[in-house]
Amino acid sequence: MGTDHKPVVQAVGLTKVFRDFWYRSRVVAVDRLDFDIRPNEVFGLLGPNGSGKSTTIKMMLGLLYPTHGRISVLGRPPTDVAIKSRIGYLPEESYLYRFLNARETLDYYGRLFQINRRDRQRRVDQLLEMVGLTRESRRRVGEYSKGMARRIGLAQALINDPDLLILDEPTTGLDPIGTREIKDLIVFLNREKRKTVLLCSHLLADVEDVCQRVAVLYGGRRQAVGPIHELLSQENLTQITTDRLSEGTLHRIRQIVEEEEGKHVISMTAPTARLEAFFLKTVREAQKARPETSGASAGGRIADFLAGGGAEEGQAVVESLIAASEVAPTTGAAQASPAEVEQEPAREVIQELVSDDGILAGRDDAVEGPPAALPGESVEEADRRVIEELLKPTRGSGDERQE
Amino acid sequence: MSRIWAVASHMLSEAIRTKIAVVFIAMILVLLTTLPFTVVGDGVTLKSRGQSFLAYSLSSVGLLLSLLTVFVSCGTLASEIREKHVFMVASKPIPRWQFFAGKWLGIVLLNAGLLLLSGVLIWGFTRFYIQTRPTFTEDRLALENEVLTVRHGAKVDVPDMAPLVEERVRRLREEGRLDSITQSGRRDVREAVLQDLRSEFRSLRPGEPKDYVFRNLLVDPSKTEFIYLRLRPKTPTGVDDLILWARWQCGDRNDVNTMMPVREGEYVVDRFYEEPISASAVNKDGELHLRIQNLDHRNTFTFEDAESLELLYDIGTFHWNLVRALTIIWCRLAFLAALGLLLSTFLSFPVACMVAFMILAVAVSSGFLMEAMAWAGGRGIADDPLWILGPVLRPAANAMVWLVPDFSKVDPVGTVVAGRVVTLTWVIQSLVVLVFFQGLVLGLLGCVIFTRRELAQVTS
Ligand SMILES: Nc1ncnc2c1ncn2[C@@H]1O[C@H](COP(=O)(O)OP(=O)(O)OP(=O)(O)O)[C@@H](O)[C@H]1O
Ligand SMILES: [Mg+2]
Repeated sequence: MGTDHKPVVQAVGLTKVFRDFWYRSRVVAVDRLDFDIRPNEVFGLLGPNGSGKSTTIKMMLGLLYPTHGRISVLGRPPTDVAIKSRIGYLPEESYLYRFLNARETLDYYGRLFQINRRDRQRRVDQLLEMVGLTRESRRRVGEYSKGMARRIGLAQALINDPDLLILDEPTTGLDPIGTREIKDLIVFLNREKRKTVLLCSHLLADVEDVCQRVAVLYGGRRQAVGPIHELLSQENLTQITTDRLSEGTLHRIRQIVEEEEGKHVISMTAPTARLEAFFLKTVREAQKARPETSGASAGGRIADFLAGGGAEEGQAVVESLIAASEVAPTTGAAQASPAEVEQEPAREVIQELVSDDGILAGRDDAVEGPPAALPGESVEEADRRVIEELLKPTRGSGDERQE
Repeated sequence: MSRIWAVASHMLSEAIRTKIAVVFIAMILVLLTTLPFTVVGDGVTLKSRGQSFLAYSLSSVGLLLSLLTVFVSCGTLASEIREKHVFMVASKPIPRWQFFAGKWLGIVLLNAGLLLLSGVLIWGFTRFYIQTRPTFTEDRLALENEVLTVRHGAKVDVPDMAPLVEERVRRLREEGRLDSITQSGRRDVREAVLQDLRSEFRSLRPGEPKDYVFRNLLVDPSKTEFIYLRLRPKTPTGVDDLILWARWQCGDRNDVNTMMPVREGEYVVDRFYEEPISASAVNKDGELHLRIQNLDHRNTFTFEDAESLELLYDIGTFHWNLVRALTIIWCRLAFLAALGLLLSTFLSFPVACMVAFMILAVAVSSGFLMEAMAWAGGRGIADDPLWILGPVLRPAANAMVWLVPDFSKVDPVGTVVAGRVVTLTWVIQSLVVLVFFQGLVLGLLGCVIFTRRELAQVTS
């Protein structure tokens, strides 16, 4: 394919300034942003609330026009309607028509893609099955819970089998299973189907699991961009990851390091949520360098009236809360203050939340949920089967004839 | 095209499922099923009852659908934008003008469906009147032959007056009465003489018999049984309640077969009368000759305007006339739909509705507005009622009137009620002006604004 080497999305000096009616009170939502998304990668867009992620995506889709700079998608400007047939978009909230049911919703979007009736029907069925809403598909979308609506949103983003999938916080409102399924889906689409995915999420663990490259935004500015392992690797450090070692072995390793290399072992712990640490560090540095943002600024300070009227004791609680929430244990602990390294309990909690084999372990047998698995098929297999069915571009026509 | 259809059918289900169309359908049903039993007309004849029913039902259906159209067209795009549904649609491969066009198509299809429903009901109730309500035969025939039909009104053939004018002017000159008059004065004299002859032609002096001819009648005697003489005498004195006592006879004196019996009648001034005449009175050249005599000894009567002496005959059927009339109403609705959609591309629902209703009011009264503007514009700046603003506002107002149709010119209700033909030309004219010109201009403007617009930009 000709586009293989060209970036799928390319932003150059992208800037978006929101003005009020009188052209005053500017909000710089995106500020001279440069990045590109390469073919067949999962690109993560990170940043605190209001840092301009959704605004960037909207410019990518032609819903907003850049104030300066330009952005091209699949080699064309976003106003080009034709490229949209290759894009799937899940907005930050599922803006669905309340008066349609799930099936009609998907059918409507399918018709906008000019998918013929038979394919449309097949895809709708398969997507509904994939997102686990087959049984609820005759209910009005207005009655759906937030997560159910989100699932329909995801289904409509996939109806055209897009080459570029833009997901704006896909996991908000989803249960852990749904979250996991989306991650699996992204990985599957990327690895097996060679699709390009733009993922925008606050759940750093998700991003860390699936993204190859990330960009971190703060106040509309790009603070960091690059392959995730490069951003996180710290060249002056070495980390050894093995199965749990005994105290004796650890001691000997420590000895070897000190004797052979003449260096100190800084820490020897289980691996941690490194992206989270990186994210916090980047945002904090950005905050220090440029305190103004049009988005949410650093919170965490509990409102005085909640903290008990500004008493000394209240302040102490606040301090400790902030410390616990802001400071994730890091492999870069050498650079952090000693106080931060001591936050063992917080680390464990985060680790639990983040790691794959935490609360989600054993879900195969514990959970009876979508998608419906055939007998003798695990949920994951069912997952894969449905996805595969859906995405097979030219399913033999013999298949259709049987239907 | 398939995308436009998708949007159109989505529009239809939106209108129905958000209940707005359902409410209006219910109102139309209630209205059309109660009107037949509640209207009374003049309280005597079935004909006038039928006419009232037609007039009320057609104009109220037109009004209800106008309201529906304004609400739906102003509401749909505005709510798509407010609820951010457009985010989804605009990220699909459908050009925004197609989305706009699909919305319009959906609204006009809805209107077409509702007009069809109303038309069927209205037609059904007119049949119902004929079949179950008449008190005597003439009653039924009057409704059937004078209202529930389509008739053409042939006007009296006015002879060429030029030779007569010359004759009179010559006589005046011979009498030496033009000697002291200038050249332009003579032109005025000529004009006055012509007017005089014309009104003379239309007047019946006491005891005077007069011959009138109706030409180019497209009456096929083998199909048509009756044609109708429609007359409304007036009196130049302006006295009310005078009664013309007339004797009249139809038929070409050169063709015995066309001669009809002599008839007499009394006609109150300023009222319309219809007299049935056998279609065989029309001669082979398609002419009908009428001799009418004023039997009154003191008063002169006139048939002042062209409508006051006509010959009516069937040229079509009521139901097709109804269809054509409904088509014209549909054209108005199609214009309104384009207007509402245009407004809602940049205004919120309540504001768009308000503006649309204001423009609707202008459209309904624009005949009056035009006159007012012509009156105000015909004076110098000094006594311009709008003072210095006049020259500025007037072009703007002119442009507005140019784009906003004069709804009084596209109102076929009166014509249908009178049993007159709603001509195909009129229908085509409405289509061209309202839909393909004014509607299209507004629609294109709407498409441009909608395409240019940053849909994710919040407007308050
Ligand atoms: N239509 C708009 N008009 C004015 N300001 C806007 C508009 N949309 C976004 N903004 C502002 O732009 C900034 C960036 O918003 P954006 O929605 O891109 O943030 P985000 O990174 O997606 O945040 P979140 O994580 O909360 O979704 C915010 O300050 C927001 O207030
Ligand atoms: Mg966002």
